[in-house]
Amino acid sequence: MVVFLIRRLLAGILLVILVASATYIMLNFTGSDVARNIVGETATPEQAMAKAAELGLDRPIGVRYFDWLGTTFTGNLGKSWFNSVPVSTTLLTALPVTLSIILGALILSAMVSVVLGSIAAVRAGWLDKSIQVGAVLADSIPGFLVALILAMVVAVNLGWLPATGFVPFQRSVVEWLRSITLPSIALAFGATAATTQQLRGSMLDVLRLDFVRTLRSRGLSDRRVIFKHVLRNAAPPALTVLSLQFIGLVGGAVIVEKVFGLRGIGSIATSAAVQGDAPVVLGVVIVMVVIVVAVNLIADLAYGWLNPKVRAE
Amino acid sequence: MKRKLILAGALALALSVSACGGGGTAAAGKTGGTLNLAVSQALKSWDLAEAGNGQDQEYYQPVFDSLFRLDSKGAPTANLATSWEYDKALTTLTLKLRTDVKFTDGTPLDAEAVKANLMHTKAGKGEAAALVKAISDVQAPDSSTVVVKLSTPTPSLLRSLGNVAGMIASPKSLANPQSPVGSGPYTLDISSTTAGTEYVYAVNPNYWNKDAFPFDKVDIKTISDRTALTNALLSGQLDGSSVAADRIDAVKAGGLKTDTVSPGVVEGLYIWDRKGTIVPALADARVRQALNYAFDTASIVKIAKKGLGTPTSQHFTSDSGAFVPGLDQTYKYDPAKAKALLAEAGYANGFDVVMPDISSLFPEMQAAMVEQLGNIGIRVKLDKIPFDQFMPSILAGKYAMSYFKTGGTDPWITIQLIVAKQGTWNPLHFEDPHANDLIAQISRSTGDEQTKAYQELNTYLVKQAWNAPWDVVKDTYASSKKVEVTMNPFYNAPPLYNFKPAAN
Amino acid sequence: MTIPPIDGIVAAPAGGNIARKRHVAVQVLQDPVAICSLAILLILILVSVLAPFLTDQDPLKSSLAQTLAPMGQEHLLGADGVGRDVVARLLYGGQTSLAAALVAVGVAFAVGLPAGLLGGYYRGRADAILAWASNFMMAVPAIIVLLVVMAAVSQSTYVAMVVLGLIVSPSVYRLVRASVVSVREELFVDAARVSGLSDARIIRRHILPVVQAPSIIQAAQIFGVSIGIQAGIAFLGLGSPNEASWGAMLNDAFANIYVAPLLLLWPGLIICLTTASLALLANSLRDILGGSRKRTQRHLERKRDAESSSAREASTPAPADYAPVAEDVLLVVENLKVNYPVDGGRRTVVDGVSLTVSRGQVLGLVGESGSGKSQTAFSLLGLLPPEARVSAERLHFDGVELNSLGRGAMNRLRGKRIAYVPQEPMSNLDPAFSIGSQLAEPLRQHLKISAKEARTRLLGLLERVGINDPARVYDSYPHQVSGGMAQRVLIAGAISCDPDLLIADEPTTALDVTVQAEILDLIRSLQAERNMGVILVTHDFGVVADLCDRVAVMHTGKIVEAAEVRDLFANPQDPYTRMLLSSTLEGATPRPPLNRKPGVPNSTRPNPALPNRAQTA
Repeated sequence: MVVFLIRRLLAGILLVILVASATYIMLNFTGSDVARNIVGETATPEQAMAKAAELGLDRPIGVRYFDWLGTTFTGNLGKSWFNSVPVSTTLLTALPVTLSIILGALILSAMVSVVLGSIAAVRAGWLDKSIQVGAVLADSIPGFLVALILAMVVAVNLGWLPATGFVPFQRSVVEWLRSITLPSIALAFGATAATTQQLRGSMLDVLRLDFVRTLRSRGLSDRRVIFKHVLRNAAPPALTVLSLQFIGLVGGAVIVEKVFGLRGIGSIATSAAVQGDAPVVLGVVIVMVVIVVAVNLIADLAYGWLNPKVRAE
Repeated sequence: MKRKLILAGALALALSVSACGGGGTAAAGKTGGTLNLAVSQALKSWDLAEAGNGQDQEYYQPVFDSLFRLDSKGAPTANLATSWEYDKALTTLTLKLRTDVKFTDGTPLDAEAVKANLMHTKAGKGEAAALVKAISDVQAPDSSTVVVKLSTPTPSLLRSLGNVAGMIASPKSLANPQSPVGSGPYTLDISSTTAGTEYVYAVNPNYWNKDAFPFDKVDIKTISDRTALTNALLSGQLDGSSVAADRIDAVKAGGLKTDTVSPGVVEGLYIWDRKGTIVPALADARVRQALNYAFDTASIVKIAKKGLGTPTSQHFTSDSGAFVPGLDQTYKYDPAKAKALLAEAGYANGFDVVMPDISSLFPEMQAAMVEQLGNIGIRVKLDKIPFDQFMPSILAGKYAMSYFKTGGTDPWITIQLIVAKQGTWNPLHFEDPHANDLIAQISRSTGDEQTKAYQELNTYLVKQAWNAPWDVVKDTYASSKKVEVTMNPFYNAPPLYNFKPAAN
Repeated sequence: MTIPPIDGIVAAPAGGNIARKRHVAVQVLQDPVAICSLAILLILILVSVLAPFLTDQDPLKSSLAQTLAPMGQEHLLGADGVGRDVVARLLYGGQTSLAAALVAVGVAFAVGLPAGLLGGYYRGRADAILAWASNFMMAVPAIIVLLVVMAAVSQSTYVAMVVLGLIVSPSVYRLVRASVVSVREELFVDAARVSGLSDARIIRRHILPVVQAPSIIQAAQIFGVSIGIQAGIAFLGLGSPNEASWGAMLNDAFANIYVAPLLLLWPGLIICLTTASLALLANSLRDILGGSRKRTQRHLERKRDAESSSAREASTPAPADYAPVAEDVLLVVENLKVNYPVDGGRRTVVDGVSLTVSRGQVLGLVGESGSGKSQTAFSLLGLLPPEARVSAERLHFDGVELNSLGRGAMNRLRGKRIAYVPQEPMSNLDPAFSIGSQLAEPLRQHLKISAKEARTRLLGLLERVGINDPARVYDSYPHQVSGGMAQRVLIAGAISCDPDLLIADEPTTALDVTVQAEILDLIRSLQAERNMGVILVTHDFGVVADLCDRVAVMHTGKIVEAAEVRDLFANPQDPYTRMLLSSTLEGATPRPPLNRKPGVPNSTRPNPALPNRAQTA
């Protein structure tokens, strides 16, 4: 177990270095004149050159790269080129936003897909068919459309929930919940569809197994058999999908954050990428990879916890 | 990017600082409540030396008081400074300060504090810094007197000091400005603030002019997405925010009030290559005049701009002393005349020109431009570039002409931007001896003499077809029924003291 | 625009369905959903390609005067924010959008397919490196890479799609690799290798066809995702608005969303339509290509079962198992029929079975697989799938008509008074729960006792069924015990509530020969001890001889002969019984119950591992 964890951690670190390095190199070959963008259009060429020198952009890329690798390795992500705010500060305010809505979306989609997936798996016929088709259709509606409609109908027209903004959890739990509800629903939409399909499939697989009949032969109610035994056995593959969804949700968050005016990782990444704010982009990439590695690790551990065979080893 | 452009204008605009009657207007309606505003651009820095001059001012206003306010004509009025005076050479400015003002950290706001601030801001790299670059030295002969020395006469200085460049922070906070310490009507409530997202300001109980700021709390949100911003306005989350042209109808339908203001920015076809290095035809004034005749500016304003602009042929707006009313009649839409002029210059078959593709930033403008240039035989080839390359590539002198917008409410700033040889928006550094003479004349003069020189230069530029302006841009500010707002064209957004609770 | 975890959704179908592959086209044409999806896609492609003939408007020509022109004669769906014709842009836009999506699919396969073939076929180091690279790619935050590329390198949709193709290529790689690995060891591939075919040829002839089916599904999905991503890129304002593409139309629509919301409808609709069609098509294909995820598969198996059983419709009235009815008769079944729906009708798998079981009596139900004996047993337990239709003149259990019982009442009876011992011990325990917890669950429900009490009781029972270390087994998970042990556990579970009737479905078939006898002994001793009635379903006359009082022989859903065990062995009446007896028994004589020494295996039994035993269940 410990060996497993250490190996995974080492692999994760390697991954972070590689991905960040690849991003670094890509960012440095885009050929855009970042220094000019930073000093602004009214600055003189001399100011732009001074800025470039200040940021070290005038040095050869090899030197810059190892320099960057060294400081990054010490945990220092540097400062934004554009507003001089430490990248870690920016990320720390943005992460709670994105993680809140992603977590909300995961919980929502897990709950809904358990209900829908179970119904679809157990009930043959039109109900199953319509859930399946519904899932496919829900999945094919572009995410921004769902988000836009939710924002306009629920927030603007009905005024039930805020249209924009994020309230940190520690400031007010109720307001936090209100602020993440719509974004989470918008984000959960596609994820739910995929997870429902997956859960239906794996539940059908499990329903075919002999022990289900044996459990029923002992007089356990269908409800109990399905929600305790079948679901539990169908959970691991669905969990894998859910953990993969997490990565997908990060992508979805970019759009949802835009629609709901949230300053999360997604909108930070968008604006930094557009500006060419390399330290911020790199910071986002590093944090994202770390999170992905962590989520995969958690999923593996949960997988083991759900599966006694793995757990015993 | 789009915002940056506006900023370029706003910058000019901000240079135009002046104040409106130091705290004269008392709160009309009830007091109290929270004023909810939104700004589309994130705050760059609390360090005034790094300050942008555009939307940053909205974040600064609650905390930092400025030396002047600007009135609706752009004239400076008393605020922290109660009186001011230039010497004959226009290179020494003497200010008298209020003596009853303290920063929220207890430090008195005196001449030394002002000196420290001006030197600090000037030494910075921000846009505000660029506006006060001409300051060579600041002296503090006594605690209420500040003497500002200029290396060269700068007609726009007073307006600049009425905005961000004239904002005064506690000298103690200048070194490490992680959070703002000023003497303004509010203080930043750090525990309720989420950097980059939401800034909450609480009343400063010791402010000297409390009556001018009737709200208990000011909440400024950063919302960069236009749709999110519109939704926030429509759902009642906000009391005020600038809105994009295409959102105005929606905002009005949602029961919000809208006001427009012209911050002195002029848009149109900017001709960078007046030397003719890239496209030789452009060196000929007749060709440039043809370009002016080619555009149906009235239609462009009506359709592409949805009415938010005033057609013009000159770079100076009606607020400005350099404005010459009759000049707007110089080039009336006349494609036939344009073609004739081209033929006269030897380009009967038109010519080819490469321009940056700006369809992701200004699709309507590009569409109108390509269509109407095509009508007089000028064939536009669009060069696809990543959109963060738009301005750098223009600055690098890559294009002979392109759509653009810039300008300032102070004519001096406009001149420095687009006419001066080293002007930022004169990227190919074109120089005209007659124009240079006129600029020198302006800087040396004041009053009517200066106005006359401004107008002479303006007339010359229009006749030379320096560029092909289309219209003076109008910006729109939306506000809820809960507040009353008075616009002021010399600020990016209405200054905070222009917000009042609605009467009932 | 989430990038869905594609390979999580497409379960790699097991390879090998080559024979069925030819029918795919036919099957697709029988599925209405697939036909509709295909038709929509074909129309979209056609309309895009034929755009120049369908409209004379130029999709790129803007006109100030036509800005946001309403729907009308000149512009059927109006004009966009810069006066371009919406119809023309929709049509021409299809060319860009579909071609760009094709680029993404192409890149994903150009990278993923060779990598998958290489890794799956050669394994070894190449495989390890590829697997690692794929994991690496999967952890890259795709959306951010796309953002950086779009912002800094190029806004062209095609460039974005090339990057997307690279990003999703690991999913292709994993899918292909899984398929290849699954056929690589198949005999025909081996044979090809032995016969000296080159690797390239083997891959082309034998491997590629297997990869084809799942690849088509995957391609459809990537295609749909690409269209969705294009829309997302446009929403973020990163697309190139100058191309005529659906994404660019969205770009324009977002800018005018409050002024002309209809502009958003058309590209939105067409994008939804395209991605939904692709997803539904992929779904149908997956069903057709026999993914494991299909409910119908279960029907198919039963159908086969049913077909074989009803192949010969006997017209003679079935002899009923009317034993001399004892005083304490437990179960009376009269004219039991079970049938299943098949195309255009129903197939009968149990056809008029009648039998009786008395308290303390052991009835053997004998027949080959597919004879309907298991179906008979399950219908008594009420455990047939919902699509089965059961009818019987009488289905009396201890005076209660089972047919008239509701679900709840049946659940109260099941496990408590009628118990069931399955055939395959390992697959009949829930692997996710400890043995103790799954045994205790019904016990506590039926007897309303505490967990502690249930544990004490079960430990005793486990000991009774011959488990040496009951506490350890109680806390173990199914995978930690042997097959014989698991069967004892299941027997303990079955008898835990002191049932009156035990239905054992081939309880020893799946076990080692040495264990079989022990289990039979256990059943016999428990039966005697508790005076249970037992129905023993088996194909094995050895077991019948060992355990049963009476025996009923089933064939094609009917009871062909029923008699006391001695009589049947001594004097089989039905030719089918005789045939069965001669083929399996070779002169074994019935033994009287309870006088046999344990542990002597019957060496004449057929191989317990019947090839299709799973299907008899």
